[in-house]
Amino acid sequence: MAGSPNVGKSTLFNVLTGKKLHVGNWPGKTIERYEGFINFEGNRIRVVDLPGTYSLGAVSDEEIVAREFIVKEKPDVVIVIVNMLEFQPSMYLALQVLELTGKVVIALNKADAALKRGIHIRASRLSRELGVPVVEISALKRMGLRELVKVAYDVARGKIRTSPRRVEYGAFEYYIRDLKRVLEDCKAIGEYPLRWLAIRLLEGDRELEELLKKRCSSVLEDVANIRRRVEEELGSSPETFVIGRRYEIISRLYRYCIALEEISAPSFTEKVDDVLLHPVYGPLISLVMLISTLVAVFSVNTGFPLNVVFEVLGWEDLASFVEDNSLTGLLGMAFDVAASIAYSSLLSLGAPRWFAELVSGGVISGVGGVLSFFPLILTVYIAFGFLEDSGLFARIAVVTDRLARRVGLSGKAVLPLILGFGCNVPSILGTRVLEEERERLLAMLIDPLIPCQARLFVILVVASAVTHNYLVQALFVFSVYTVSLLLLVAVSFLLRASVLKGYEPPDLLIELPPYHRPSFRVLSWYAWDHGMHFIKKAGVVILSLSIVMWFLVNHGPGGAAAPSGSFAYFLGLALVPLGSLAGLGDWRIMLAFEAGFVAKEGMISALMIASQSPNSLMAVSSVLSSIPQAMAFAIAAAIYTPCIPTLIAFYSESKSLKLTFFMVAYELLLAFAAAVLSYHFLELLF
Amino acid sequence: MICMPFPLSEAPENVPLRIVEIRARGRGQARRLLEIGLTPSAVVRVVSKAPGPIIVEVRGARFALSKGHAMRILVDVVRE
Repeated sequence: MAGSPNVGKSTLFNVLTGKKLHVGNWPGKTIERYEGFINFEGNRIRVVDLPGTYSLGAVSDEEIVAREFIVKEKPDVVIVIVNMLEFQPSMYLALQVLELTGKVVIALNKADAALKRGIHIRASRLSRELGVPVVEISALKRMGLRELVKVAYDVARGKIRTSPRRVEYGAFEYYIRDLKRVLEDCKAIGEYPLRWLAIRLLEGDRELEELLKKRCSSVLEDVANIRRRVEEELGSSPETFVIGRRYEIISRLYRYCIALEEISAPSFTEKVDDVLLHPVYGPLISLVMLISTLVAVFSVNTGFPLNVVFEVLGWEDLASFVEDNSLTGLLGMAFDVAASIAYSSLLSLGAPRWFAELVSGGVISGVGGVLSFFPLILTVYIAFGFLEDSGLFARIAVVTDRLARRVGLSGKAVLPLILGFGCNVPSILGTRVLEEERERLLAMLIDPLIPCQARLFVILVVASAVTHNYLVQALFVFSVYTVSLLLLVAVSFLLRASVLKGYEPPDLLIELPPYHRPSFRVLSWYAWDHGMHFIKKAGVVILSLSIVMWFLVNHGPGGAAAPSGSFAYFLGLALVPLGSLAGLGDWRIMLAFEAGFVAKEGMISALMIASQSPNSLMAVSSVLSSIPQAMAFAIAAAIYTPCIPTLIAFYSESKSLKLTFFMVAYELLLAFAAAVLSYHFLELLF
Repeated sequence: MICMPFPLSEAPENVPLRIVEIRARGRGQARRLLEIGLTPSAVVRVVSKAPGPIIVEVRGARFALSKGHAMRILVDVVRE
């Protein structure tokens, strides 16, 4: 299944394939490959979802993946989805596919919405013009789906013969013929259709040029010569000519096959956009949307900031109810219960103590740690998917573009980064939407500086331990965030001045699709799939590291010890001199930082174990006695190395161990410097 | 009267414009604009010129383009 972005491909894929399989990534790329199955008339049909692209050029990885699939894996039939509401741009991909393979079925999606808008299409005419079957469908309303599958199946098995109309390039054909002759001698590129190859090379295609360089490098010179001739003789670049010609055909198809009723009133989308894209209201509303998204996500997961609101209002019971019944609270409780049950039952079954402790403290708690951030990832993905699918993401990108440029990014990076306030894992994975590589790299490198909910949790506990005054607490939290964000801007500036010298944020080019109410089913499926996929990939690593951490905290050179006398304790002692530079010279504090490597919430439980306090507030107060200390601790906690899952996400996206180490190193240094500076600065003040 | 084509970034709102040329900055850039339908002789309309990216309507779809792109697209007013 192929289609440009915003044609409804994911909805169709989801609706057609009952069972969805995420079969890993496309080879050598970070793009996910989705496959599913349809059962039709006793046959099992495998459906591969190609990445959504506007064309099959070689500008982006998605385009390369899509066309390589069609050429190398030779699907029995390709369904190209065309958006009836935006016929021409989505038709472009269809034309491209038709130049690669004749076994195509065009699915005209959003037929229901088109009807409402007064857009009428002569599907049979279009089919005759293109030479392939055309089926009108509505994935959302599940119309025409059976016919689509039947027609596709018939094309696949040869019952319907297609004869795709060849795109004629007029005067340009002369040059295509010339290049074809040269290419015929190059035997090594056999798999690509000759004519298609010639056209693509003349248009300019980095991937194919790389291929030629390796196998028939002399051809490259001929390509360059012919391109020059086209510029001189036809007066414009080959790609302008070729793409222009394709759109001429699409225009003609549009005029010939589509009839429009007079639409008197501006559409819903236009009315909403008048507000959303307004120079003043736009940014305000985007801000409100982003904040509400974050608040919703936070509250579901951790109870914050809803619990603070309730506490301020004096509804203490409601506040603790929200906290305890938040997803993280519930999961945490469930695992605590499971751990104690395991511990006592193992002991009663006669298992040795160390084994019972390993299973309950190491394994079960470790699994609990892995799974406890699953709801975080899930809710963030749902929020992200909602904003993307509905069309709001594009509007946010437009409105925030100017601001983003000050930090060296384009508007598209804003939403993925903002997600970092929820959890850095989907945030880093979300930077995939950034096509330009260096922009993506920059975004990924500064992303961990955005304090996630786990870090917020730590900051909140410290704030409440330090003072009972809500205003001071709020100020405390606010200052930590401000410091982190200022550092983010500074780091971005430094990176662009050094490592990324010469980089400019890419120009924004983004489609503003008509507003669309996303299907919750599709959203939650994708969110679940992404979440599960990450857990599977990272779960084992996280679990093993948690067990290692548990071991280091509970065992020392003299056997079992907890926690003073453990390995972690000795490491903590060694770090004390460093910590005292920031007023944090206490092995228990260092232990907390060690625990924070796996998950930031672990910092608080580490403090509780180390200071042997029954609750988190007392644990914190016993090690942090002054505001400068507390602030230094909170700032360091907010900035220093991200948790293991984030590191894994970073590594899997950047595919570079070097970069991952760089990120870890710079964050450690930054956290240290910031803690030292803030401690001494505040000491002067107080 | 001879009129010179002008960049899209200077175009007025809500006036039908015909694309004359796309000035390429490198090979990839012009292609992306062409592929979404901003081809020579296509008719486009600037929907919104608020500070920041320009919103254009082309071939029934709407796109946001930052100034960099808009400066490279040369247009002319459509004369009836």
